[in-house]
Amino acid sequence: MPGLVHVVDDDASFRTAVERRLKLAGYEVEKYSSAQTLLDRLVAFERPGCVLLDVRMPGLNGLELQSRLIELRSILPIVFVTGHADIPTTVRAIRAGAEDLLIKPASSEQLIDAIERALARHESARSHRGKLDAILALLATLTPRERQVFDLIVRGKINKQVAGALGTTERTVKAHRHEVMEKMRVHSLAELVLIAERLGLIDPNENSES
Amino acid sequence: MSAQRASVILDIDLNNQSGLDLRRQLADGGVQLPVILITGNDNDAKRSAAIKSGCIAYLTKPFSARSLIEPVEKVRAALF
Repeated sequence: MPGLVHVVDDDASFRTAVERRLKLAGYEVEKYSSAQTLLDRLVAFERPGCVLLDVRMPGLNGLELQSRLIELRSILPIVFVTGHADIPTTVRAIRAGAEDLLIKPASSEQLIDAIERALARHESARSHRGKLDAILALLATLTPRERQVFDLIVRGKINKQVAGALGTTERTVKAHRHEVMEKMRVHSLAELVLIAERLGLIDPNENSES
Repeated sequence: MSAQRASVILDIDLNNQSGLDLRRQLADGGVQLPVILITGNDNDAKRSAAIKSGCIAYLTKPFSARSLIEPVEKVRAALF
């Protein structure tokens, strides 16, 4: 897959050597001499890509950068490449969502294999985020009243209960319900509930309230 | 044995016996741990046998750190 690999390592010769190998493999490369430099520059984060990152660096280390990126809601996958791998560090990195952790010297095959997995993951993450953004845009078109109806029906309230809660008639509720389904582009309540779950508005594991 | 959720990672290609045989012995002895099977030489027969034995993951070398850690994490989270 095409992609932009952000290489972060304080070792200049490593950065240059990796850049050469990755460009040969067909990737684009941006280099950063430190984690802070990456954060400061923040270039092209929206482009399909991933981060190739050392663990031990002066200043902000690799794991700290990983945390910062998570705080910034970055979905760029990270492949750690380090000369100092121990089990706790590896487990921490992977638990925090790293695609992989490779030990220097890593072969081109290992690097490319990990990068390809990272790029594929980035693509599906971008696609998922895109779909969520689209759903949020539809939700924003609901009037406040329609939004109230939406919130109640996805929690299993029937029209009568909704009418009671909002101080209106069942007939009005039905009309709002119809509008909500139209605007959210769904054909069933089940689809609407799925949307609510995806947006984190309701917890799929909770029992519906009576 | 520790009460913590544990898992066993077994190389199928052990010297004296196959990881699958060892796994069977453990099961016969009442050890009910989730097993991750690993091999350096994948083939269809081995893969089927491994999966039939009910392992939670089957990894072929070389495998990523993530592919090993993910199943172990699931055991910790009691998803297995």
